[in-house]
Amino acid sequence: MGVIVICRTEFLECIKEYEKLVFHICFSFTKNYFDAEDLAQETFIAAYNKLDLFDGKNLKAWLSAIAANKCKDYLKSAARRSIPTEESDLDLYASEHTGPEEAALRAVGEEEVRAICEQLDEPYRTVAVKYFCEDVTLSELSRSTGQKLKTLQTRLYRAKKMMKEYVRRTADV
Amino acid sequence: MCEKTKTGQHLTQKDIAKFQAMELSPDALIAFAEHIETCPACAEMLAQAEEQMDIHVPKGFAPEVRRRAAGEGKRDFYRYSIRVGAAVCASLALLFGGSFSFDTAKEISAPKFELLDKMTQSISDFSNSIIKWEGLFDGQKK
Repeated sequence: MGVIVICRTEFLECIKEYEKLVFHICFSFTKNYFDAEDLAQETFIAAYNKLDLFDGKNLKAWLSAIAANKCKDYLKSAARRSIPTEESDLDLYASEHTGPEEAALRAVGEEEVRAICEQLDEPYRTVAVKYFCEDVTLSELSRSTGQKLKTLQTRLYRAKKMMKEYVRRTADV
Repeated sequence: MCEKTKTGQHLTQKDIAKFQAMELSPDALIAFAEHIETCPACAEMLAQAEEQMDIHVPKGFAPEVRRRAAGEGKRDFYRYSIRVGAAVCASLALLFGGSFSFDTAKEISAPKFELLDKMTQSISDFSNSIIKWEGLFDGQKK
């Protein structure tokens, strides 16, 4: 098998090619769409930073190994269950969604993801729905709404934190 | 045929199927992950199985990865820290600016506590008055 030589710029360009693979591996480990998204990002960033260590043989397998490593740390970490979130945000939907719906909410279907995003209060709901369900990047949203990119990034971060915690709580019930 | 790694047996297609069906326990998942990260052959087998699966990835995922990889997240944090630091320094300068002087010939005068002394004396006199009244009152009761 030939050796693949890849530079950092090329690597960033081929994220699209492997994003589904890495994302699904992370989702299979975490069973949490929003944690999977974060871990998948971290996988690519770790790979980008350690590109010098890539032996050039099998990029797919190498990325899969890094994803497994990230997910292993996630699973082992007890801290994933103690991320603080305002009680008022969780109370909005914790009492409404129990029972058989939990399994559906952990699924990877777009309808299920949208259902979780739409439970958030504004201004988090809009940015979550746009980002996760309507394929709008934060840059595009910033241009269309006139809001600062940094503001939207902060809102998305907060929205993800709430949704991650929600999925974890419904999984534990 | 690949060799066994330190973490134990190699994965089978059945293991991969269980993993994809989310039927592995948390401990089994950790063992699974530990093997994948050390066994290129099993990592390849997992990759081949996983790339058949479908999942919706947000359009903003790749741009966000590129942004973070370019260190923009860290730069933003440093810029934010500098802004906050500058604001704190400016606040402190405004608060204490009058207290400092570059005139080295000027001595720093001792603070004047006369008003404070007067107030303290008044309170003390008042307390003593109350004590006297109480003493008189108790005496009358007896």
